[in-house]
Amino acid sequence: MTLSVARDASTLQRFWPWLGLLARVVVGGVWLIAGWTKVTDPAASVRAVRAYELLPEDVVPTVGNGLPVLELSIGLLLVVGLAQRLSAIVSALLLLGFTVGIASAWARGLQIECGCFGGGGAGDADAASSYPWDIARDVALLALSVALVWRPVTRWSIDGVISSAARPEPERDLTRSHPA
Amino acid sequence: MSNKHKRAERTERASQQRRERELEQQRRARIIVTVIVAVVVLIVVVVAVAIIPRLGEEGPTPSGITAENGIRSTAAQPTSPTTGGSGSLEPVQVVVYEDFHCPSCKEFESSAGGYLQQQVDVGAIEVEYRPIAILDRVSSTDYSTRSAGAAACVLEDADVATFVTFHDALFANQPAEGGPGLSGDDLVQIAEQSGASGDVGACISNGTYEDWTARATEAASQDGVVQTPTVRVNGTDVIGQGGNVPSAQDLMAAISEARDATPAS
Repeated sequence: MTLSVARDASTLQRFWPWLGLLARVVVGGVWLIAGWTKVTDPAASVRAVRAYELLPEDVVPTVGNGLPVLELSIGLLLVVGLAQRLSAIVSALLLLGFTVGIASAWARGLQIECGCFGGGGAGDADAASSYPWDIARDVALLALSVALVWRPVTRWSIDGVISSAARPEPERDLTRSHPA
Repeated sequence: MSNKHKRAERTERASQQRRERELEQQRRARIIVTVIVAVVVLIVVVVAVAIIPRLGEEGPTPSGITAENGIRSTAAQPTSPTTGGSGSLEPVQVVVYEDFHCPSCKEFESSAGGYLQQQVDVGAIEVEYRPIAILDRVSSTDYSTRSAGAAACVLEDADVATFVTFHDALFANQPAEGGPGLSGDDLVQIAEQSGASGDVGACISNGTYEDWTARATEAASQDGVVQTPTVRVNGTDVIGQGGNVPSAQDLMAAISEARDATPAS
């Protein structure tokens, strides 16, 4: 009965596991690239965080050095589909923070590179012209992340493999032998 | 009736068992996921710590450097400034943060470098060059850090005038972005042509002052430098027309404004 309801439901629902897979790989892939370009030059990551002039100096080095590691972890978890809801929540929170940060830099008239993919803190005179694109990209990734928080069940995920492997014993549908 | 009742009871028990099994399944899955996540994050942290280049805390600081990691260029024989109104004047202090791999810095040097040197020579200003390295990612060999370290080697080996000559030569020979940058041998050759002794080669190829470069770059960042060139006249940032790289005219205006603001001694 539930099956027929699902069949009648929207196509979105039917194709969601595949769309979710796509969302997962796209968002996770971006995190992996962003984290990798930062982790190779953590001093630049610290400078990029400082350039936003949002955080007190006491926490700037910790955030600057920690972000690349966090980004790599989230990217890896999303790409392989592990702890999907948790990773998607962290991903969404980070992207929300970045969006606010860039918007705030824009609003204050700062001329900085976003530092999203390494570098940063090394702005050109026209650095501000890329703010709209940075924000658009982050908002799009944020939307995908929120979708994954909402429905963290996707194709080809390790979560899925584990949950079927964790079955205590082969399930026997006892109700089926006694049709109502 | 009794039979029907029994059947219902059995169905009830079966579905309860199934619920319990599902709960058990979810619990196991959660434990497995938690363990794997912990392992993955741990591996990422260990790898990150392993590949993070050590921060430049150990290497020596070149002698002759200012407290702010700068090289101060002053008139060899100060003459009284020809410009400006009243009496003898303190030289205006100009600070220039530059990255030798930064095209805007090259542009700044070719448009304003000559003017700055001339103003230094007449004693109207003093220029403090603060080489930093923020563009390591645009070369495959960390050319920003290597070139700034080489400049410190030249200062250590020779004097400020030789540093300035080397500084100008590095901008004249600036390598393209995205490539390997100049080789260590090229840097040594340019240093020797600029007047450094034969000893400068070891300093440059050993990267003696690359840790210092990292420290100087971090200090500049803490002083609010977010781009190169950053030019400050008596402590105030000089912004070029329309947010562009400051030109000689922009500097001239900033310097004369600074001089007007300074009371004559």
